Amino acid sequence: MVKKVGLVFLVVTVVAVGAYGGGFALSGVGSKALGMGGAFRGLADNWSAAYWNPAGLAQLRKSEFNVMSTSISPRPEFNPQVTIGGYDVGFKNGVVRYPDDKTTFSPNVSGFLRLPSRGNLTFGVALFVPYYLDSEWDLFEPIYEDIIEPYPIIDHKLKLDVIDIHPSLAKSFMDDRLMLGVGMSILNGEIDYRKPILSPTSLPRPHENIAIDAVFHGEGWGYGANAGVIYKLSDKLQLGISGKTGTTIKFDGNVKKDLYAINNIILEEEALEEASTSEDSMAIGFIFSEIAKESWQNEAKADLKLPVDIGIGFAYSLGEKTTLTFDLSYTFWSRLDSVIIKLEGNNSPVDTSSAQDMIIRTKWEDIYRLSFGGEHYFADQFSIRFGFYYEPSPIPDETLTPLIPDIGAKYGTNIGTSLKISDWELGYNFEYVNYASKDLILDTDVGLDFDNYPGSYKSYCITNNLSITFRF
Amino acid sequence: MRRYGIILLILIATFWGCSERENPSEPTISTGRFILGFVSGGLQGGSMTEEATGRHVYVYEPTEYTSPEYWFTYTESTYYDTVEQESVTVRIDSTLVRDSVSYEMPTLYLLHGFNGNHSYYKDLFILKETLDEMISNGEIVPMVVVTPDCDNAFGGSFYVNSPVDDSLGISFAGNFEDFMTAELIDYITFNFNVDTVSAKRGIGGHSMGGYGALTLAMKHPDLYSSVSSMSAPVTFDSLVVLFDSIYAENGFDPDSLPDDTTWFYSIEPSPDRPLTSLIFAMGAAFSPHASSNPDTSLFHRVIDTNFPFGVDLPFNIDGSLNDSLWENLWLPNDPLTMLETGGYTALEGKPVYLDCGDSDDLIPNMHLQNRVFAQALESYNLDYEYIEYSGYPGVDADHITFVADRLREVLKFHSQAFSE
Repeated sequence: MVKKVGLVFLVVTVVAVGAYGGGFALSGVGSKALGMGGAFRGLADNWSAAYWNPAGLAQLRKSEFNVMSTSISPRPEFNPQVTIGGYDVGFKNGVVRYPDDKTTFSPNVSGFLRLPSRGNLTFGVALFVPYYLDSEWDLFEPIYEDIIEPYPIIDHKLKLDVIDIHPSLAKSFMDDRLMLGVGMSILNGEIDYRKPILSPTSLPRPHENIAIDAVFHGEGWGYGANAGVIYKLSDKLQLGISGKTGTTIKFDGNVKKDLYAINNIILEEEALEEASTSEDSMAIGFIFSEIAKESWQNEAKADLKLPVDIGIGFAYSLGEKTTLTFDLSYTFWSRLDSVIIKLEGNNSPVDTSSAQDMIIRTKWEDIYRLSFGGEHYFADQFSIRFGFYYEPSPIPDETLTPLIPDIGAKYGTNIGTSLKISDWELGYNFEYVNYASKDLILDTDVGLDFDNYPGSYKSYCITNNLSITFRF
Repeated sequence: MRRYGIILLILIATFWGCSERENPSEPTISTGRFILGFVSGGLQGGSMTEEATGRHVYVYEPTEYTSPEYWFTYTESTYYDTVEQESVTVRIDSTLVRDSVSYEMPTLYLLHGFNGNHSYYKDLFILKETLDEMISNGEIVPMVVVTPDCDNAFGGSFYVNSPVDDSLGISFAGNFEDFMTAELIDYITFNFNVDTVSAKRGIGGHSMGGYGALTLAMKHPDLYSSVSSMSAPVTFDSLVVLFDSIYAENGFDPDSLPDDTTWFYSIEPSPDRPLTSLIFAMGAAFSPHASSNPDTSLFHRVIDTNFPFGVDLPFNIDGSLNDSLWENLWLPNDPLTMLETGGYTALEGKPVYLDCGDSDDLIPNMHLQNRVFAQALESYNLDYEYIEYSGYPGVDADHITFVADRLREVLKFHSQAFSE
């Protein structure tokens, strides 16, 4: 038995190697749940209930072990129009840019034990990836060309990888009409954030800002919980309500900055002539450094506040073979007002502004999500699923950048299937998400912080899920 | 079997992803080159301040440029050699000439600002990269760009012939107007494959260079076909307000100047007194003190204490404007005055470009003075374009910061003029 389970785990993992995953908040967990468009809070009848509504774990008829891989292929495109007051400051404006296209991978593993002897208590652990993003872009090149070493090709990056180790417990009451469940989120996160910083100088254009390649890498932990209830209103209709707490992942890491020095002796002499203090002269020495780039590093900390989420769902059985589901959820993304990367100490040789904390302003907004889904069994072993969801983007125009592909309202369409073979179940889901395109034109000056990137955005995303469940 | 087929399909579907896209490659930029020339016979006539007669000049040749061809012309003379008893033909009066051909490019003369030289645009304002990019992109026509050195002992010649001293008979600080309009043009038209008539010869500049471009175009109507000026001092009225700043630069309170004359004679230029340096350079250009003039009430020594000559500056010992010097020697060099006293006829039929930042810090309200000049151009129905530009948050449109951007507009302007 153990040998078989190990082999299945190996196969699915190997299948997924070479693929990648994407998206800040993934659209959900579980082939079946995703196949039904994420309308799963009212049904929640397999291991993925740990994510959607832990009360549903009490519906498991057997213990089960599951592995799943999700491959995600986001395909955003961006035509930047990023200037300051109409002036070019180095962004590759006017042509459509693509990120470093990837098909990314996120694994999920779970194991739940049902204990009939303990009053139908079900408990176990799921390990899944609720948040994942790997976005890399080539959008920038310093407008001053008199540099020694080329600026990095990948100049914008946001990689966020959050794994939820999720122990859960569920129990049924009232002859299985009422189910309650709770879970704990132990989140381990890793983040890489890269963005050019433009540090002002006193030089004329195109040297009025010096380009600094800033990279933050951090790792950390966060803790939260979820809970849910399912109540069977009738033999055909059941209601589920669930929610999860907000979680803050506390990242510890460092910020590395590389200043791309100007190679222009005449300009350096002019600048030194006008330097009035020794600090100015020292800064000029770095700006016109003889080595290609000046580098320095600070330890840094950052808190990532993940949202509270609540939702209600219904599941309705049309006979024994067909089930329809509906969900309405609300996510409090407004918790994520900003991510402040606090630098420890001041190692900056340039000026105080580049030594200040890095701030990722988000100002995200609360959003709702509507999901519909259905499943039909053609035989006891084979089923087809469909699902659709609509979800606006939490990202307001004032903080929209191509680093996060969630550029506008999403329309997710899913089709899936499952095949049961003895104690095994193979599940598959295909998802196509279309994002409303956006032409972002701001008539206000954005300044050097570049909280948002004006331009034209388009995006779509294709996701495949493959899961294997063994019940015993 | 069917079961395994379904599994296989699912696995294939899982592997199926999207193709990877490539960012567009960077556009190919043809790179021209700068030639460092040397006008060895420049500034003819010499100068009291012993300005270098040889002058460097950078000349930008675009990729499309083709060098002219040269050959010798000569006359032949035949005589009979009585010793050898044969007829001998000799070539005499050989002269190097160039073709008049092929593809003669338009030429833009770009004049540097105060304290600059021939490398002003090349080193400070990425002229080569800008030209390479704009010509490659088709934003401007291929053109030869000439950036001469017109620096002098005072930081700038203002592109005029500094007056000739009546006793010594030579220019005080050099004949830069002659250099620009004769010697340099001769040098360029002979050595480079450029248009030899004024139809495709533009002139422009920044600050003092813009001043030079406007005034040379008004003084020499046949030489240039288009004129541009970036952030230039175009009305001398605005200079009068600088006097207080000059006194302050030299450590004197403009509202309570000392009663004695020591303060007046202690005013002197230095790198940390830019306005004082500027006014001395203008004094050298417009009103050097004639060595035969016994009136030293406006006299200021220059260069060093061993140099016996100096300039007259247009303010009196009580700090007030000296009307006589101002009206007789300075205002005739004032672009607005020149325009209103006939200079406008020289600009008729020629496009004129003028710009200024709205926070220009060289002279208070300099943009307003440029606006006045633009209005004067309007009053004479001249073909002009005036741009008053702003900076962006944290970066003001001061005298120098946005020159590289304005240069692009200037190049477009002249390109358009060359194409008409």
